[in-house]
Amino acid sequence: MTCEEVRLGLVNLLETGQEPESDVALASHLATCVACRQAWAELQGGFRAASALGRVETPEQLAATVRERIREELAAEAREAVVLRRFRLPPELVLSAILGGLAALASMWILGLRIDLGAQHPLRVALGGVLWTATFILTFWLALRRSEGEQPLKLIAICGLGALTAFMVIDHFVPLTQVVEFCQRDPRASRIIGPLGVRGLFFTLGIGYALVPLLLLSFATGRGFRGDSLRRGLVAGSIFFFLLAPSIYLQCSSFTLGVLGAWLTGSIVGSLAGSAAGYWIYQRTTARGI
Amino acid sequence: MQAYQQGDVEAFEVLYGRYRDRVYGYFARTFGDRELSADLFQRTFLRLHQGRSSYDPRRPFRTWLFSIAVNLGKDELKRRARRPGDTPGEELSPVLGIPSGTPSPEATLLATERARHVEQALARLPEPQREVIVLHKLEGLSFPEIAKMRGEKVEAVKARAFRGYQSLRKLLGERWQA
Repeated sequence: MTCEEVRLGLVNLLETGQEPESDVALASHLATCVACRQAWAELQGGFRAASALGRVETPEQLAATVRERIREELAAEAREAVVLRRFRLPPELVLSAILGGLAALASMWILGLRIDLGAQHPLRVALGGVLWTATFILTFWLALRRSEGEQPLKLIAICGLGALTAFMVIDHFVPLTQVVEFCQRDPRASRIIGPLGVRGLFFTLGIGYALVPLLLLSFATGRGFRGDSLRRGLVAGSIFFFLLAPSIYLQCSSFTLGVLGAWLTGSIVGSLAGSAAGYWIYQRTTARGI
Repeated sequence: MQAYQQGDVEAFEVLYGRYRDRVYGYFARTFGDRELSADLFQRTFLRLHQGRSSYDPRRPFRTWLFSIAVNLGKDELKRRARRPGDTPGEELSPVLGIPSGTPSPEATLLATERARHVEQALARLPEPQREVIVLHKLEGLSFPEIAKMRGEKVEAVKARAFRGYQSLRKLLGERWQA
């Protein structure tokens, strides 16, 4: 062992409180090295002397200044925390607002591809947009909010959102108004459904356009439920209808009141019947093991 | 500390009462400058306060607190090295305190005298040696802990401690009895 190694070893003894005799290598080096023996004595002496050092007291004014400053900061933090707790929005609500806003924008854009929104009264467009945003936010919130024992409501909201998406896609590629026009123009179609009249056509097609997506979506989400298909169907249908209503409202200037009423009534009937039937069919198929 | 992290004023008071003299003592003994010690003391506790959310409860609090203090001290030493013209503030009296629990007035007097001698000798050591003695002997930090705080090798800290204790003993002279 070199003297340098021995001295580092001796420093270690200060921490353990042991004597050099506890380490054979150290002890044998000290036995032969006068300089290291002297160094060990000095090291021990210095270490023991340092024990005489007492506590240093912080000047009272300094201690009080720092204490006050930190206490003030803690008090300010506490006040801020109270304010934040009061005004903090639940994250699911914030997310619902973002998703609802985006969904409303996307819906307006899809609708704008088919009808000239610029030709509408600006107030009507603004009101329609606000209504759509509000209903989307509410629906997303129902789907996202943290709640125990209300899983069905989440699924029903998802069912409503899915059904509206399906409706928008169907209505974009096969617009309901164009189907009505076709039925009136085409001689064969006119012969079959002509007696229904324009209002009857809107009513019938309104049922179909609402019924098909809701039937499919309520069937798809039916596995989350046990019984009570009528109540669930009514809720899902209502959600879908409220999501659809702004779209009809934005197009209402193009129609007479009678046609609009027929379309709305058809949508209500289709929504409720479609969703109730979807849940019912799901129950029947699972009961029979299909 | 966890209660203090949550904003508990009482928990802060307990910690502050327990550690304020130790932190101030560390700065006072290492730098021997009243103004500077007060400034570093304030900055240590404010930094502790502002950074308390980052404290890991698995680490000993004392080590974390002294890491802050040592870093501030290190920065101060660097700043001094860059600006050697800066004049130090009012020097602290070398007799800063006596060990607690002294039984009688005579013993108190003797202890005060001994402490004064050691403080004087300690004050004559180079700052890095003084610092390691304060952290090791008075604050009870281990060499690996000190090395980690200072960002140095353990061997370097041990070597400095060795020289520090040895010099301290030499400075106390022949008449000093342990």
